[in-house]
Amino acid sequence: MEALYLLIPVSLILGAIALGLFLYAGRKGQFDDIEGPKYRMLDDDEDDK
Amino acid sequence: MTTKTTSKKCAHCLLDVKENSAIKIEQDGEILYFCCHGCMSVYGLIHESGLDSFYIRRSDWKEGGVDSARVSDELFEEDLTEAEGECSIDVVLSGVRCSSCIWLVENFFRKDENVSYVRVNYATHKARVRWKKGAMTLGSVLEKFRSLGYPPMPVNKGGRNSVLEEERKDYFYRFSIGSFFAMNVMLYTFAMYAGYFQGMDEGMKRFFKILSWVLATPVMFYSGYPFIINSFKSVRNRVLNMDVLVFLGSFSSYLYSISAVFSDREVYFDTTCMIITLILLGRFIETGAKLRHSGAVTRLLSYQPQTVRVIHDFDAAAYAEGRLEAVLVPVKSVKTDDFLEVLPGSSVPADGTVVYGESEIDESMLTGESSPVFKTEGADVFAGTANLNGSIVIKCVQAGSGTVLSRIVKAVEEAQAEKAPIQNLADSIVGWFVPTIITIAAATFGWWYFRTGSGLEGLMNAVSVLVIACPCALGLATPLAVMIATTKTASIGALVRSGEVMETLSRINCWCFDKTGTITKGEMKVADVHDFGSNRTLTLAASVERYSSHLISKAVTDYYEGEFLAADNFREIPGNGVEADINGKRIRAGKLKFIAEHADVTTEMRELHDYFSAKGHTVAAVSEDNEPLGFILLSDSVRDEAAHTLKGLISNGCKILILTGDSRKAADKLIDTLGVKGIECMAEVTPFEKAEMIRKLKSEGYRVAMVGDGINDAPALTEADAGIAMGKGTDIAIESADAVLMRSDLSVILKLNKTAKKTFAVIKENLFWAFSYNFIAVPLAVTGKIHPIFSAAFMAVSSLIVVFNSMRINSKG
Repeated sequence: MEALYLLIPVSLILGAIALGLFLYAGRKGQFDDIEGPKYRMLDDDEDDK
Repeated sequence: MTTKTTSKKCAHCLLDVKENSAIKIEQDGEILYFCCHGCMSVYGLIHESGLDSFYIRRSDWKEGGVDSARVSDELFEEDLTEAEGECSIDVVLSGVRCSSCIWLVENFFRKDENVSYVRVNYATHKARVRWKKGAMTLGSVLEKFRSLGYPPMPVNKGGRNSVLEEERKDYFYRFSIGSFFAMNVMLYTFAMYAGYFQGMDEGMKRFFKILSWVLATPVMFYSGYPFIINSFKSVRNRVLNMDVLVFLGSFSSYLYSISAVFSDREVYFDTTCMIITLILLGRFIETGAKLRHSGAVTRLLSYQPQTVRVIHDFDAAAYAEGRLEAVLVPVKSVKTDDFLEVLPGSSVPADGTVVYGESEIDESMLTGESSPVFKTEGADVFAGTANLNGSIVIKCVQAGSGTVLSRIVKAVEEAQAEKAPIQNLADSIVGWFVPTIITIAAATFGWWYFRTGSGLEGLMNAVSVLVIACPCALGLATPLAVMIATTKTASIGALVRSGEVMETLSRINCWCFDKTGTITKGEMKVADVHDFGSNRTLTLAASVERYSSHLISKAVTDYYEGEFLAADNFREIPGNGVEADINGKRIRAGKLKFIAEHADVTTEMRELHDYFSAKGHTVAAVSEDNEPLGFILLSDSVRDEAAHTLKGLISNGCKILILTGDSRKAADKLIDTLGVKGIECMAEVTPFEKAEMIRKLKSEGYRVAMVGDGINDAPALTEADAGIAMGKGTDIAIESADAVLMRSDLSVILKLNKTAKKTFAVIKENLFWAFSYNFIAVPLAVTGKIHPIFSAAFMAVSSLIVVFNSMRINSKG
């Protein structure tokens, strides 16, 4: 059971990294339009202008 | 008239239009119908740009006409940014209905080589456009949006409330960080629960306790920060609200648990975390619902033009010859004695006297009078009224804050400032719940101290009462119900600004209605045609009047269902009528005085005319050369669903009062037409008297709702416990109302009332279930028998009950 003393902090660090990435993406506006992309995908004549 | 005209769908907006009144164009051998010129020009533009596939791809398109809201360009200027030789602007588009609208806007702009970037957000309808500096003006970019039928709104006004949006973002980050830590704390807490049943190594148990402490700290102080601040504020204001209870519960359990880490007691860090994150979730949902609906309400507003046309050194003769040019100036700089030019279709910018020209002015928003008033030189006009058909010059008598309009706006603002915020049920329960819990905690301390003689034992049990006191489900009880309810009311056609309105609406027992535009349609409809024998009155009149945009002409053209005859040499004489040649004969339609100048009107005809007028009709006379043909009788018709709605409200035991600025005669006629017993009616009241009346009813103990649409109703809408505006109403009415009917359909009020009652019932049940946890847990805490595992189980159960109970609002019935 002593392994827990190491594993729990490791799991918390990994979790904190994931949380950090999520917050970073949120602040960058990744979740501002969660409806649009599914329709945009179907527009075949879209050029990257 | 029983023949039914075939109804067609507008090729652009899919609105049903009558074949007669539709605009027809032929394209590639196919006839296309349009409801209005706006739709036709948008269709033409899309077709020219080769974007026809828009009409094929719009599968999720919702019906609706082209929006006409127009915001003056200078309001956008503060949103314009310039960088690296490029200009960029963010706007909110109104009228976006489906994903193909997004496609259309983006592709339309992409075709322009000056535009370097265009993106429309589907969720928020916010568009960002970047273009080469100097290649286009801001005005031309905005005009492009308008020409497509998506009038832009400035981001700060276009239905986004930036304060609420910031608040929601803040709650979101606090909630997501809080829930991350809370979930980890729950994980270790569960391990400790398992340890409670199976036994656990002392060192490991201490390790878990310290871990929970570390993880609960950011939840308490970062996520819980709003509660800490708010509860200090509310204690200073001597009002106990929910934040105090949340802070009390979470912070006492946090402190208790820290002391427990160092003694051999159980820790309650999970309670700290769960209370804060669940209540944050509730707040997040609440602001989301508020944002969505208050945003939609703001989008209904059209914002008056901010510039006026001023003529310097006005001289009637010089003006008539076209030697004087009007200058555009901001409305704020208009002074008394300035000469202002008011073009047809625009609104009067200031109170004044007409000095040149004549026109009909629609004053319904001020007086409630539905038919337009003819104004010629010397007549007074008022700011905010609409100039319908003639160009006039007015001499300004009162500008800015002195106008009748400004005085009404001021009355609205004063009433808003005085209106006490509605205390919602949850807060008022908390108001007595907190003192009760503190008393119980004190009693617990006293009892344990008396029994065991140990101060520490007493203190620990007393604190555990506080720890147990705050129910997590409390945070969800109201927001969840309100969110589901507002979504439901939006689907039946009513936008509700905030959750408190639901509570107020459910308890209304007196409904006040405005007459014109609310109970009645606020527009002229042909009531009857009185023919002198030729049977051609309507056909001839409609064939001439279809060239005019006058309200009466429109009503006649709409009513007529046959084929139009060819007419030429059309002329419109403002304030009198219209004339045109049909089959070589001069057809005239308009006031009897105007007809009598050309035709032989007999005394019987005049008497008949006066008889119809006395009955409340507007009479349009029709003549062919010198022979009078007949009368067309028009009146403002009562909404079809009005009687049914009023009956429904009366059967709910509500008092009904109609407040109108119209004459007593018109009011009596309305009561007659409605045919519903038990309606009271007050006629000839000013906007201020309307508000006064509502104040009086409130002081008599009634809970009053006001339904109206005009500027003249705005003070009353604010004064009432619940103000409901018609969606087609004026800006000020919509802004002062608590709820807005999207469709001009009174029967929505019945449904809204029903939903509000149901929502309020569900909120009450939710609060009961949220507090039910206390009925079990607090006695356990008092006796010192509570263990974290019980409190966690009760909390979970009461939260789940609240969630499922809230779902019931959406069910039928």
